[in-house]
Amino acid sequence: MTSRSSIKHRLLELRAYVLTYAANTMFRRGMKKHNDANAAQTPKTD
Amino acid sequence: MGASKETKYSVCTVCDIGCQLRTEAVEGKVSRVIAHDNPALAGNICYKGTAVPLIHNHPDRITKPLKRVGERGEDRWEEISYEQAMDEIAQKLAAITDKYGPESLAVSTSGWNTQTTHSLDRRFMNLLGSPNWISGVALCAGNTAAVNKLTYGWFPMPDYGNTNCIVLFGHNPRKHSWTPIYNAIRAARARGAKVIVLDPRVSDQAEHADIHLRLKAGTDAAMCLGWLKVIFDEGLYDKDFVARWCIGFDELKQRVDEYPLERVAEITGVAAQDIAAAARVYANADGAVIPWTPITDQQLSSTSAIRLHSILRAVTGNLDVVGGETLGGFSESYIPESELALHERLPMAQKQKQLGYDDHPAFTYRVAEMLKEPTEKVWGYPYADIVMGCHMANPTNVFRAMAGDGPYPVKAFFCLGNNALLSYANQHQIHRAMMNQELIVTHEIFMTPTAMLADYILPGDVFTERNHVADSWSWTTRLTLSQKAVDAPEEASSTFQFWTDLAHRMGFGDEFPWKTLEEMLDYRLSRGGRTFADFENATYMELEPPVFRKYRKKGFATPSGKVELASSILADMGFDPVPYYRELPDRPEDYPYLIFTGVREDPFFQTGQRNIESLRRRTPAPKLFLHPADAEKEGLAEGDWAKLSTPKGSVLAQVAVRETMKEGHVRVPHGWWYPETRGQAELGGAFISSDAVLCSDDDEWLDHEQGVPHFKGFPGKLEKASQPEHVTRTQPEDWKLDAAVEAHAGQ
Repeated sequence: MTSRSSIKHRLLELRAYVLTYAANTMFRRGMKKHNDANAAQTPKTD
Repeated sequence: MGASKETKYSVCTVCDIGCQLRTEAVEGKVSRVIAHDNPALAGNICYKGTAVPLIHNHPDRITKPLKRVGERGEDRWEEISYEQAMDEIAQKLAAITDKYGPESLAVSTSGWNTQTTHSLDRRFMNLLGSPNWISGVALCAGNTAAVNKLTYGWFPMPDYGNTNCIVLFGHNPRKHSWTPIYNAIRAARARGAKVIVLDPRVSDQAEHADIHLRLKAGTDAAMCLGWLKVIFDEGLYDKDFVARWCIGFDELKQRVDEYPLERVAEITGVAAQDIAAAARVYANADGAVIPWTPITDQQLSSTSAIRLHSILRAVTGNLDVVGGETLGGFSESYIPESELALHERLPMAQKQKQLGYDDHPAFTYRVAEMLKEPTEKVWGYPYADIVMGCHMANPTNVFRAMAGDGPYPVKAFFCLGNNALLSYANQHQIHRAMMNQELIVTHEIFMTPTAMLADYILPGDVFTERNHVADSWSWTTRLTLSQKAVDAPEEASSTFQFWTDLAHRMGFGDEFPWKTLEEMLDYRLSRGGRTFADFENATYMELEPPVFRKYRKKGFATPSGKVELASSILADMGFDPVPYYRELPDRPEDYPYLIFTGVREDPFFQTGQRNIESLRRRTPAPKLFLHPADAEKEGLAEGDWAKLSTPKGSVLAQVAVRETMKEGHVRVPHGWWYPETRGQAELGGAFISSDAVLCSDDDEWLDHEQGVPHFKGFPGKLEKASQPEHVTRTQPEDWKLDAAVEAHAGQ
């Protein structure tokens, strides 16, 4: 059985951490794009 | 306003997996529900999701409060105003609780459907003094969460992204059922992860598995004991983790030694060498997961079997590590429902009255109180409501009390987003219980058999009509945005509104200060210094950075602070502290088949959607699956109607002959009724085909510690029957086609 605290596992943990950061950045960018698109759709009422 | 087409992100609640989709609306109506625009999330949509406009705009939606005018169950109603309905409900509830005590109110709900209760139901009940809250999660996921806490104080989540082995105990995620998990398993398999399936059937997952063990239904605990036997005998466990972080190894090992593989093979019907091979693959995988499964939740040895899953995770070193199963804890930026519920305000004397507290305490307040200190120490809150499934009453005990069988009267029953009549075991008993009530209130989007038994029906809203931030009921720390796309029709409103308005009428208004859902979301997000508007402007989903091996700082949230292979809590309550396998009661000779129920079909979630034409078209009638040899023995052919009987009752369904079935087993789909027979068949055909009619909740068929009924492998018999009266639309062409649903279903 491989030790769960081996260098390989440490690297996988670090990768998971970085991927989470990247995903959150991607989600925020996606939301900005989405909000901008909706703002362009909203009819001007005044 | 013009016909502009705004798009919103919505968390779908047609089933319980919570896919984030995009909703389009035109002129106040949902016009289309489509996949996410983020490629990483775009695959998470099933054809039930594409059917959302048909569900939410359905002409049969209940949109005004209804008051019963005929006898209970007669299905005759008058429309009344929301204010009148709430005033009368409050007056009647006050009279009942004054007469019988606050514990005479029981509530049954499905958080999956109602979504935005924010635990105000528990808050209301705790302030009123009733501990008798039940839910379908008592039989599915919620009970698993509670039992996992006995071993290591939390309910873990599989790390599908990094795992090397996935073990599915009967669980069968498919493209159109639990789609995100199906996608995650596919992705893991594509990068080389092994999949082990344990299922009597050749299920969809089994077809693609690396190892498939066709165990006899209901023998999960014995199989896990066999795996541990191999793992201990061959030294495949994480000795360092066991030595430093587990207690009770010797007691466990002694129990495991009582299950040599020959005995396990005899119980499960799987060859000893195949059991050993699977155990070795799991233990040597260097990152393996046993995802939650409803199959293990619903067996005679369910508590032991769920504990054995937990123990396998721990002893093989797969707990809270990358590629294993992680203990998430509460979100740091969203106030959890555990805090909103105010469990600490319910007096101990009332907690002790919780039905099931003495007989079957594993998910009741009895265990919650024993875990309070370690849970607060490790996770920061004394009560951890995970998947809503902790601190619940036992459903069987509640229905017995409602029916007048003691220990005290339960006379008011509220069902919110929950078709309770068909959702638990022993439907005839539930019916008897409901007929013995003085007040039944339901909160629903459509008329259901349960709603037909009510005094008042409040019209419910749906997910496209409200704002929300979903946190998976503390199962994960992920926050997912769900935006309101349209207004709710007429007087339809949320369960948040129902409990708030009732609380104000019952004298608890000060404890319900939030006037709108957005105010509630602002409050919950204030833990992270944000408002709902801030969240909505910033992102549609937020993940907390993973932290592994958190136990190194504060230990595990158990009385010992360690992983309890022998449970001190079970021992203190007088139960066996180490897991075991319990043999089924003797099977009567005239009931030769093993029946397993609770099975989902792709077009439906639980008892819902039978009234949605395009979904019903895909499965117009319930199907009993059986092996060709059994079909031949009974003189049954594909498409015949058959009567399936148990000592509790009989149902009718169409026969589907399948080589994939294990001989001697019959699979029964869950939750069938026939909305189209309303006004003809009793309660919309609720007693024709519902699997809940078949299931026993007599004591000998209940798991000891939780009191969950045995749904996976109880005795039954088959005979040929005629098509049921009033059920006439049994062919796909009898139901309308919808292009969007068909297009997606065909992908």
